[in-house]
Amino acid sequence: MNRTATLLSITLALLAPLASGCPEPTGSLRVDANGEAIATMGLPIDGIAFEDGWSVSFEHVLASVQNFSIADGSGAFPLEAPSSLVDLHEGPRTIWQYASVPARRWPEVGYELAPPTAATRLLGGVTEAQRDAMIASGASLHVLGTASHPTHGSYQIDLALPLDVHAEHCESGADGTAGIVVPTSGTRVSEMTIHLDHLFLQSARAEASVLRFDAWAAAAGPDRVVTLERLARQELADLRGIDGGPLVDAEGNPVVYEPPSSGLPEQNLAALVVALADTVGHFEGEGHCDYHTGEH
Amino acid sequence: MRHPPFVFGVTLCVALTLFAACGVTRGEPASAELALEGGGGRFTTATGWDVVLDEARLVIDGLHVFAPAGDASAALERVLWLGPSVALAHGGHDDFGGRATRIEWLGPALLDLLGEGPTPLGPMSGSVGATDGATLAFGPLPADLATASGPTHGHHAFLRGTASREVDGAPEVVRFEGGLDFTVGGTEHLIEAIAMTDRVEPEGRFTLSFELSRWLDQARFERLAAGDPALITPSAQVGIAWDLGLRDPMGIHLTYERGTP
Repeated sequence: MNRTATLLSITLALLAPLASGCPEPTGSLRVDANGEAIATMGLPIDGIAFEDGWSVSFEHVLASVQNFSIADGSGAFPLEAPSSLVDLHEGPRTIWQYASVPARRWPEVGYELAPPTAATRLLGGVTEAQRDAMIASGASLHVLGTASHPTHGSYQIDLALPLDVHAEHCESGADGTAGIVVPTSGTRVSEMTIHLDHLFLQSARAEASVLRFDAWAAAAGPDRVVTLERLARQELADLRGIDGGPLVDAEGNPVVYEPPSSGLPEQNLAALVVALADTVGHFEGEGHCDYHTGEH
Repeated sequence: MRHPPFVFGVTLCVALTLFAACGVTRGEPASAELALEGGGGRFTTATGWDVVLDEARLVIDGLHVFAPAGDASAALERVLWLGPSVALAHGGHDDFGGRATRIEWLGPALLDLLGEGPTPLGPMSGSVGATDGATLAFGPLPADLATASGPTHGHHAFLRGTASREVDGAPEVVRFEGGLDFTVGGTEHLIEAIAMTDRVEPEGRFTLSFELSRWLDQARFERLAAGDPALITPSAQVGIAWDLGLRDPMGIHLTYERGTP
């Protein structure tokens, strides 16, 4: 038995290096972008609603994404993920596809939200004019829509967000694990999921926060258009309501917007909305990533 | 000796494991003293009030200085916990998003922010190496501070002072006091992204200071409900402005000096 066991050990030892020289099985990888039902149908939806009674519908949700990446302990797998501009209001759309990706777990997944360039690919119904407008404004997420309230009427949203976000260490919202598994001879469908409801959160640091729009509407000019520049008029220490008085809730209590625990460059609503927007990019549904900003 | 291949295999595994563990350099231990630099209790706000603070107190739970992302030595200590440790301030919930702590101070402690000169707060322990930012953490108040008769009147932060200004030649004076609280949940109890990039050496000294003028810079004392003193509540404009200012990491300064504390 000892001799047999010894021979077996030697055989296995010899086979191990040979096995590592065999071609590694591969699979395919498809990467979609999805703004979920909020991008296509607006708010409220599926129990997600504004605390102050507003509803929002979107006409365009233009997202500029690039540099999808996967890696493991041996390093990054080379993927071409050119800058691409997609309108999430049109529904989920495939952004990149890859054949012959080594079939295994890739624990490191990341992607970027960054402003488009002249070389950016236009997907679906996105026009050159829309891309050029985003280049001019430096926006990587451009949200256009209409907010409505039974008492306050309608306001237009024209929000060009100059995000420069590298989302990395993404966990899969599908199974809660780090990164993805590319199956042998199969296709992994991954998804950059954009959570638009984040834009309207009242708190950037609470575990759960309500959505509000009164402060946005109050910042609009006489033409009832809400832009990022106009949101900067709302000082967080002295928020105004639509009537020009202090911003209060339905019970008459002051509404307090809470910045992230890492602070804001300026204490106004525009800076807070940008900080909230920095975290819109999720992965495969509810999966979170680490967000690094301003690296380009 | 009945199973030599098995014994050989186990021995080989142990040897390889030890080699792998010892083949990398663990961070060199570092220690430091943390001190509080008080002062700055007189200032003029952006809203036009001259403020004199008589009391400014804060109860903090920890100060955590982080290693840069991907720092091997700090990250390794988190995993192996060999020798003098880089202490981890949290258990099951990862407050810090998996970041490796370079060096830290663990409280809690009551800070008198108007105290004269540097006030020693105690030792910090960690490892030598680069840093990338710091976080101030707040926790549940100790029993002796969680009482209305305590120095912060049961709050994490307490202020008492006088704000004055002239309007059309007429003086206005508002004596005020009040407290603020940090709730635990999400990142409510943290002030993150405090600037720090100095390299930590084996011995050194950190100094923490607070820019009190930032706390009340946007405060509109004319809106405080009448009282003597007028009470700052969390829902008052002054309370909201104070909360924003207190939590602003740009108003918290951390410096490092190498050498024997």
